[in-house]
Amino acid sequence: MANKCFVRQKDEVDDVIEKYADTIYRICLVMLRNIEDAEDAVQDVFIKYMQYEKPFNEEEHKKAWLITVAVNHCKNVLRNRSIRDKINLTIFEKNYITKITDEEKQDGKAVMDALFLLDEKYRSVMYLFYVEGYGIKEIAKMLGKGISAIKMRLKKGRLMLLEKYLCEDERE
Amino acid sequence: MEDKIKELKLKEAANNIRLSPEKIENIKKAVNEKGRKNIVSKRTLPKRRYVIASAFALCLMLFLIIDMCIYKVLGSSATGIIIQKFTDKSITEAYDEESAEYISSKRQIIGDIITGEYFQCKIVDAVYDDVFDRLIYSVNITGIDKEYAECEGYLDSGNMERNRFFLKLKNKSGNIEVFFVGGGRGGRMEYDEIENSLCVYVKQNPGDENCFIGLKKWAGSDITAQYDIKLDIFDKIESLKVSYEGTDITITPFALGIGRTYDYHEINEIEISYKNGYVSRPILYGYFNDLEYESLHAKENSPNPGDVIYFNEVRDIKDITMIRVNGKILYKR
Repeated sequence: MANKCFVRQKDEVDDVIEKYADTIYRICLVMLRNIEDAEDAVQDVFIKYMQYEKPFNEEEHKKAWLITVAVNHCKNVLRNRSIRDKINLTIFEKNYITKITDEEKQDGKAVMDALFLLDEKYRSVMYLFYVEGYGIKEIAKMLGKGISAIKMRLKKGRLMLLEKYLCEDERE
Repeated sequence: MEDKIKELKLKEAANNIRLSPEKIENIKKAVNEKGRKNIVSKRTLPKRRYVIASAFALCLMLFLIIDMCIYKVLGSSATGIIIQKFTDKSITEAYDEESAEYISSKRQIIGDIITGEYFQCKIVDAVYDDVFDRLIYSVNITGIDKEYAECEGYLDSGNMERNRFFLKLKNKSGNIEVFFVGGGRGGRMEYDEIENSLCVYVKQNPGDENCFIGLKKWAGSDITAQYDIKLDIFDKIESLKVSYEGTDITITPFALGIGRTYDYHEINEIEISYKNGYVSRPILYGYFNDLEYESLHAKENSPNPGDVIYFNEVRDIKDITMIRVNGKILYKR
């Protein structure tokens, strides 16, 4: 029986938050397309980490665990949403962006908007593959899907991302 | 394709999105607060619930055990009452044969609605009258002449096989009681405005056509006999004859009617003509001699003199233009 009393030390949790908060936030943001929900999700993921008693063998294992928990948590949030979320293409701008040039900002917004416009199942796969750099096998494991499904989603995701990006570009 | 995606610099764009240092601090704070609070509630609540539920179950078991012991030893006690309620045999003992019959009859008849042309009569309750061995029914009657305040019916359960139904009416001013004798459960009643009479049509058996009619003028005093009831309807008829096996039998006026009493042995055929040209030939249904009743066809049985014979044909007397029995005209107007 699991020990319900287990809580990780504050310092340990703070270190992990410091290290992975941005990554988890981005995943949540990509999946939920809402800044407030993403921030809440980040909190919940780290609370789960705090109460997760099993040790992690290596740092990469810990990161993968956090991403998996974040993905599952976001799926639950999406499932419980009573109204289908409206796509707000100011998500990118409203975020805290590190110091970049205006041109970089423009390019960044265009590609992120294109990503936000994809369906959730493509958004998460594209993000994990291209941003976090995970392989197909690892993504399949994290999302609990088959390798062929991930491959298919990547293939379609690429096409759709380009299509959306070009559409957004032409519109601008 | 892959190159084109790389050109989009998705990774760079995404990595530019970060949480501000203030937000990271807030998250740290919130996680530490909420995470520890959740642990406390998770750790304690199930334990508390378990303890409370266990204590409650234990108390209940102890109470029942003590209760059983006290009841076994003393027979009754303050706590023993609960058990007594479940073990008291007097409830089942009350269902003796008679009561069972009563309940069965009650179930059959309560709720029956006897619908007439001018009023409706609903049997709402039944009480077993052990003195006269019968069931007294309470009847709600609506639409009837308002001078009648009370109405009740009863089934003679001593003669269940005959299933006779009696209806008693009381008026507001006096004690006029009218008893109508029916041939079975169900049926209908009608108030005849022209004749100022109440007609009771009762089915002999469920599913039968109406086979019996009783008629009585309101103004009359207590009348219980059927032939008296019928008398009032036919008081305008002077004389009638019925042909019986070649012999003419004179029937007194009161003896003719639809569902009337015939004071003779047998009628071979009866024909009734109506104003609208309709001619009916009712079949003799049966006879009645005080205590016995059985279904019979006139041609197959030989009732005794004095028997009452019913017809299964019922029509409003005012519409009848002619009655012919065994080919002979008995009544014409």
